Formats: sequence, structure tokens, C-alpha cells
Amino acid sequence: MKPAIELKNVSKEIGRKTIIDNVSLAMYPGEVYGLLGPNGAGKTTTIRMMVGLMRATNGSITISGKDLHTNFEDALSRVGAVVENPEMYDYLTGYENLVHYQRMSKGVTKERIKEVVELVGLSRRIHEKTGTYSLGMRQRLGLAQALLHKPQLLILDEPTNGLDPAGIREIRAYLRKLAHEEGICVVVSSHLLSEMEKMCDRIAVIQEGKIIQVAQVSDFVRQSEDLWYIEAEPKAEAAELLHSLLNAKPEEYKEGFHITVKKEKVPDLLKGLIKENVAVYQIREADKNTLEEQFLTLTGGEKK
Amino acid sequence: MSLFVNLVQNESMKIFKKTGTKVMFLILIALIAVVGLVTRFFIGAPADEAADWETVLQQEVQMIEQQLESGEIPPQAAEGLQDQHELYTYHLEEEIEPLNSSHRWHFIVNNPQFVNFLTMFTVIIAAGIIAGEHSNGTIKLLLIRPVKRWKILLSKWLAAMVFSLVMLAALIISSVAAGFLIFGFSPEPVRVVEIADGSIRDMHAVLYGAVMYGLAYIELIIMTTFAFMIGTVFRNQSLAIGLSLVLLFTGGQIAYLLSNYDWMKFYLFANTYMIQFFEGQPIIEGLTPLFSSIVLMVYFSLFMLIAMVAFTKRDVAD
Ligand SMILES: Nc1ncnc2c1ncn2[C@@H]1O[C@H](COP(=O)(O)OP(=O)(O)O)[C@@H](O)[C@H]1O
Ligand SMILES: [Mg+2]
Repeated sequence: MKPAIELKNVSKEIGRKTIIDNVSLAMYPGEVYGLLGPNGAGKTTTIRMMVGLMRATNGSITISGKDLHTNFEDALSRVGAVVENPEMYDYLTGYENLVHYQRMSKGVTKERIKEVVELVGLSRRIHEKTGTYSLGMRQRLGLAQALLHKPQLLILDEPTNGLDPAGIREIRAYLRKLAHEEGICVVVSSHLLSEMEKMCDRIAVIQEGKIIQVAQVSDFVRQSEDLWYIEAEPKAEAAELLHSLLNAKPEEYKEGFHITVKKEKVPDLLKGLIKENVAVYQIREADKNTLEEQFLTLTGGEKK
Repeated sequence: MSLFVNLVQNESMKIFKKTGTKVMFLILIALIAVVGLVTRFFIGAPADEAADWETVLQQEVQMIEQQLESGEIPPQAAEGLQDQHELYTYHLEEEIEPLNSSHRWHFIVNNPQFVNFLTMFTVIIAAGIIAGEHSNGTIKLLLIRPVKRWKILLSKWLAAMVFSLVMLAALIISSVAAGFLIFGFSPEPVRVVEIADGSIRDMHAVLYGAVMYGLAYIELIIMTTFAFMIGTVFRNQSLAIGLSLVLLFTGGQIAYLLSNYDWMKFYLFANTYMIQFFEGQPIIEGLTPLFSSIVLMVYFSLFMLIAMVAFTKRDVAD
């Protein structure tokens, strides 16, 4: 299958600083692809290059096989995107904002505008000036303008910013449906692993402008499911016991330890500890909410 | 092509939906009304009760003749008086009423001075039309459409011109309305007679007005393009507005101050005031309409080229 978008050896230097360093990625129709990385990792810069706002210093970007720079209009004709915050013309109504973008793409009808407005749930307020919109409503309008011309590639930079939990669930379900049922390639960025693992099929982890890993979310999650957090006293004795029971040195973490163990082995492990009179206060799956913690497991417990 | 029309339509929509734009129209109309009223009631109080214009002119002509015969007038002044004599005699022979300041057509014909306000407003619009999108962040959603950047740039420039034309229409309509409302109704044709280049020039008032507006408009186009370029290059609305307005108000002065240097011929503002050729005396000796047209064309192309390069080649990183 032909990639919806392909980056080949893309680098970006601003001044003397290398912000994106030799990134190669291919994203395919029918998948939700996540760009995951802490703030300042280079997600937005990558997206800016993918939509032609910035020009790569080196490397090439092709969208459905069309080179972004030599064939700009064709390449972007079926791309919808929101880069960083969805800023709108605040002195226009939501509807006028959409008409504005409708006029810039071929074949978008008035009916399509109505359809998209209903889809993102803005029908009631669409004829109000966007200056009065909340951040959540702006996100919805941003999504609407990106969907207007039925894109085959949808790129959303931190799309859940400013949405309430219900809104996040809604957009997550919708993006997955777009990809899996309509065969669109959806690219989203985020700094939250917890969010990405629920939304994406594949994730590229980006740090300091480099791609450090690309994996199926299912692999990712399995990797971290085996990570547990345990608190037990006395600590020294517990550490020693864990070491011998697991054949691996437990990693100190907060009040207790991080250990890697299959779920079905946990009861036996606890028995082993209790038999030796170690007091176990708690054992639970390790937090994998933040990317930082994911990095800890990825990079073998390197501490900041 | 239809796409390009859409782009201009978009940019015009953005201009006209802004509150600031509406305020500009109000200011313009209010200004015309105030100037009209002040002229009518404080400056040019009509003198028609006393004597009709022919009697007044005949007296003037006699006075000039006496002065000239007395032989006490220095040669330069005598020249001016002779011109005046010629003009008045022409008015009397052709039976054309001179357009003094209380005349309704005077108000309309002389309103091209208001084009300066139009220039000011259009400069403000043009300076912000790109810089504003950068400062609001809307530039990102604008430039990820399947439309090449140069088309967007050109549509924005054209939209600024559309704005100025709509304002020009508003200016002319409200001038005519004020002319007739404040100075009385009477749509009969009027002629404008002047001494230009030492001979009589007799033009229909409508044609005269059109020439004046047209020439004043050239300055508007150049200044607007300048502001457009600054806004595009610096992506900063206040800077672009400030710089353009300062130049607009002082540029002409500098042309006068340094008018005896020959190289000032190439100075932008020695050429923008095209009315100088219509009135007779150019600011700098040796300037011709053709020369000025070429200089202005070169400046214009340069401004457009710089704007184009700045807009199409640079990253959008803000
Ligand atoms: N215009 C710019 N000039 C210089 N540095 C920039 C510019 N834009 C971004 N950067 C730097 O590039 C890095 C990546 O930024 P960004 O792509 O916004 O990260 P992310 O979206 O992942 O948070 C940051 O260190 C940021 O400071
Ligand atoms: Mg970002």
C-alpha cells in the first residue's frame, strides 16, 4: 500500500540549532498514527513541515506520492490539518469561517458545511462570532475546517487540548472511525501516552527531534503491562528477596520498587515475600500515564 | 480563475466584517459633512445678495487694468496679474461663473484632497492584511489550503484595492450628496477654468474631478503597496502602519526640502504627487509625467517583488 504521507530523511535547522534530525516516517491509509513526545520534542515542527508551513532543510516529503514542494496544490488538495491552537477569525461567525475555507478548496458544497457542523456538534452556536467560543468549541471548529473537503490525510496537533473528558472520548471514537471505516490516514500528536494508547494504532516516539521508537500500540501496552509497582518493608530485605525471586535487580522508585513480572506470576511472588515476613503494603500496575514514565521503562530506568 | 475570485472575495469579507473598517467609513462620511458645513456657513458665506458674479468680475478686471497701466508693478507680479486678467476676461466672454468656495461644484471638484484620508485608511488595511494573520495565528490555517502562496498574496493586495475603490465610491457619493444638500440642488453642467502652463484650460467639472481623483489615486496605490510590503516582510501590523503613515505625511515635505538636488528626481515622493503635473509646476525641475510614471512603476514592481519573495519563501514559524 502506498503511504498517505512519507517523510524521508527530513531535517530542520533553525539558525544553528537542529530541531528535527533525520526523521523518516511513513503513515498509511486506515491507521491512526501518533506522534508522541514531551513538550519541545519537535512534534509541531514536524507537522508544520508536513503541511508545508515550514520547509525541511534536508529530505523530502511526499503526500500520496506527490512531492510537497514541487506539487504543492495537488499534494495538499486532500489534506486537512490543525497546527497548534485552532485560531479563527474572531470577527467572523463560525459559519463564515467555514465558508472562508470552503472557497479555498474545490467541490465543497453548502450541504457539506452543514454536515460537518452537525458532526462536530456546533449547530447551535455556528452563527455566533468565534470570538465568543470556548477553547473546546474552537477545537471543534478547527476539526470542522479540517474535515470540510473530505481529506484523505488528517493531521491534528494535540487535538484534545481544551476538551472535557466526554469531548475527548467523542473525538477519539470519531477519529478511529474515520481511519478504520473510511480508510483515512489520521495523524495526531500528543505528550500524553495514556491518551495516545487509547487513540492510536501506531506510535512514533519523538525526543529532541529524533525518532527513538516506532511501534504498534498493542506492543507498547504489553511492554508496560508487565511493569509493577510494589511497596514493602523492610526495604533492604525486600530488595534482596525480589532480586532472587525475579532474577533481576528491582529498580527503586518512590517509596518502593518497579519490577517486571508477568501478571500470572504476581501471587507466587507475594507468597514468597510474605513467607519471609516482609510486610507488603501495596502492589499495583505501574503508572504509565506520562510519557516520562514510559521513557523510564523504554530506556531501562534511566532517571532524570 | 474562479478560485482566484473566491480568494479576493474571502479577503474582502475579512476586511469589511471588521469593526474598524466600518468606523473608517463613518469617519469619512462625517468628515465630508463637517467640512461641507464649515465651508458653507463659516468660510464661503454666499455674496449673491450684493452683486452677481459678472459685476464683481468686471470690477476686478478694471482694477487689474488700472494697476498695470500705472506702471508701478514689478515685472513678476505683472505677469501674474496678466494671467488673472486673461482668466477673468475668459470667464466674462464665455459667460462661465467662476467656482468660488461657496459654489456647490467647488466642493465636489476639490474633494480629491479627501483622497489623502482614503490613502491613510487603505494603508492601514494593507499594512495589516498579512501581518494581522500572523499576529492572530490564522495564517497557519490559511496557508495549508491547496493554493499557492503567491495567489493568496495577490488576492490580498487586490482586496485592499477593492476596499479603496469602495471607499472612493463612498467618498464621491457622499461628496456629491453633501454638495447638493449643503450648497443647494442644481445639476447643471459647470466648467472649471484655470491658467495652466500659461494658457487657459477649460474643462467640464466632472472631467476635471475625474482627473484629480485619478491622479490622487496613483499615490494611494503606491503607498498602499509600500505598506503591504512592510507588513509582509516584518509581519508586524503596528510597525507597518506606523512606518507607512510617517512616510506618507513627511515624504512629500522631504521632497520639497531637498528639491534642488538633482538625484531627488528618483525619490519616491517627488513622483507620487502626480497632481503636480496637472497643476503646472512639478516639485523638482525637469520632472515629466513620463519620467515619474516610469519611476513609480519601478518602485511598485520592487515593492511587489519583495513582498512576494518574503511571503512565498519564508517559513511560517509563529
Ligand atoms: N521558530 C523557531 N525558532 C527556533 N526554535 C524553534 C522554533 N520553533 C520551535 N523551535 C524549537 O524547536 C523545538 C521543538 O518545538 P516544537 O516542534 O514546537 O515541539 P513540540 O510541538 O513537540 O512541543 C523546541 O525546542 C523549540 O524551542
Ligand atoms: Mg507542539
